[in-house]
Amino acid sequence: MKKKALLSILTALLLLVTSLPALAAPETVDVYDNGTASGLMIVKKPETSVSSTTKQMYTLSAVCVSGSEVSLYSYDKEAGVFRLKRDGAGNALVQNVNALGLYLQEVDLKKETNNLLLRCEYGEGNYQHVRLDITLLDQGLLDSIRGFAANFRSIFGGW
Amino acid sequence: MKMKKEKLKTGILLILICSAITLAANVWFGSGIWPQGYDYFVTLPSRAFFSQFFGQGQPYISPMENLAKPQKLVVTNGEKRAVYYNSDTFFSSFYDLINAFFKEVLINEGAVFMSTEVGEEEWYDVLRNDELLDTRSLYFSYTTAFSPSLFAKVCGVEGTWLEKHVSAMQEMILAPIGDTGTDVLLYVRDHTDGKIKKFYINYSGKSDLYARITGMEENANYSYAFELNLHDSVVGIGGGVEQKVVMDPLILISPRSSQNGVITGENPIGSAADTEALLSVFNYRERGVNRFTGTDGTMHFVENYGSINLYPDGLVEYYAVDEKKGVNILPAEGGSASLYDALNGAVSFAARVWSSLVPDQPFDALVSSDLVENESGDYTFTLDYYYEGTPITISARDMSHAAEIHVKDGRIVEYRHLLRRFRETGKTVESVPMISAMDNMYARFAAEEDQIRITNLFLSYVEDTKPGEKHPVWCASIMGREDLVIDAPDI
Repeated sequence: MKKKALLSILTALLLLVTSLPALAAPETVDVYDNGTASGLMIVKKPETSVSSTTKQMYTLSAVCVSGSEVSLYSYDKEAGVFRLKRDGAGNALVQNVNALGLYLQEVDLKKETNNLLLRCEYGEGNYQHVRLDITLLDQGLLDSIRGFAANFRSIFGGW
Repeated sequence: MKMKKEKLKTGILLILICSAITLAANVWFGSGIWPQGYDYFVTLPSRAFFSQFFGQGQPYISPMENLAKPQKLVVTNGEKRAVYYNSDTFFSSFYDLINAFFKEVLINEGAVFMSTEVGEEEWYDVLRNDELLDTRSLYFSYTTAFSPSLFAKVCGVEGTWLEKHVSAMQEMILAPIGDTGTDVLLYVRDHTDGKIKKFYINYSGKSDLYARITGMEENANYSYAFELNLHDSVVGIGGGVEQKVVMDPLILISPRSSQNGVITGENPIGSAADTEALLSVFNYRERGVNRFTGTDGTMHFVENYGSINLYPDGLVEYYAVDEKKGVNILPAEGGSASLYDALNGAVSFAARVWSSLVPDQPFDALVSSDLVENESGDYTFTLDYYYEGTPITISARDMSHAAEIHVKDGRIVEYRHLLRRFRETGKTVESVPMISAMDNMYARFAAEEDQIRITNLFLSYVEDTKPGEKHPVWCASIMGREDLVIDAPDI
């Protein structure tokens, strides 16, 4: 009788495990892990790996292989690893990319250089990493680079 | 004692006279007792001469007032950005600024101290707020493209120097230069050839404009497609992935869902009196009209020079048999029909049709056909319904607009109007995220096309005349497809 109950529990557990998505973003990613694949994702915004912005609520965009899973990590200085980012409610910032292959993710930047990592995983063991260093400029810093902005204005003939 | 009795008698007599008058008025002006076609007194208030006494002389003509109002307004104040539609609370204050600007500037060529043609990059740079450009700008777009002279007219002035530079205008940007002085930049995209004209303007109200923009503290997280590089399939870090969707640069994208109101739609024609009120707008006289009802419930009204069909779902159709005997919409018979006169007449006519049936609700519609003058005097205008700033897409019968009006030489020769009254239910629903909606739309064409180009993407109610509640769904215009793609499985 006990054996039957144990068998039932084991079967249920097995079913539960197999029904979970095959892809699951790891909680941490090593800084030296450069991924195992390429050609899974193109990061559209930001355009470059190192960038600056004045927008605290920043939207990342990417085009990815259909059916892939994209997760966002931020660098944990103390642990020296990239850690899976979570929203205010504690949900991991992981998205499954559908047929269109479009990925959009809003991220609340800190007023410093934000070391982020995008991981696109497709199939077992195939994943691509893209590192993004985005510096959020605060007002004081922005004031100090007014000259820079003024140069832009001169390009537009007064704007 | 006798005196008291006399006074009582007089009092009773007065009460009886008053009640007789009241009851007689009710019988005359009420709609209950009159047979169809003979309710002369019921339609009396809507007749031209009497309308002024009954307070119906000036129907709501929101579409004409709305012509000068942009459909969408995007305020960018540094990193902050807000998007307002034409019935939003904050829309009016910005619209007042724009209107004041045009009223002063459109007729004053001396205020323009330089003009030049610029490229797309500058147009985007004046709008973007993700870089370090310290952007302060107002972008506004209209549902229709105007000739500059017509635009000036709807702004309340006659003629404009813009005619020398631009053929048709639909999108513009106002950007105050710096926090001092009176210099403002006006960018106008020519709708005809897509070229962008930039004007340096001396404007006395610049400080108000600057203060209002820099005082805007709202920050809805909208990004233009060009800011997310989704308008371009080349830019990006990495490679080897096919970009399946390319978007028009100025489509506004939000990763968030929004809360939207739920409404219902119904045919406002509910009684014989409604039908008579509607016929009277077309100047159909009771005695000269042959009327019959089809098996599907459609009512047909045939006169010597035209016919009206009134469908059970609220579609009203009018056709003039003889184009010279169509419904005159000009102030005087035989006058010349400029674009403005024809438009004004057509829109006022549609508003009269509306207010004959729904007098307590403004005719919330915007003109959606391009408004460019031609010499033939032959114009087709289309109007679209809006509810609280959200467009209502028509998907019923073969109509895609709320009203289609064909005007020839100052007369309406063909008129189709899907009359629907919209009411709020007090409920709200969360919209499907934009990205999920695009996924659903793409799934429909995945087998047919590798890459789709979305030229417009917006939330809209869809009126298919089916009973039940309606909430906004995503609609997209896709290049190469004439019909609007709607993210709703049952439409």
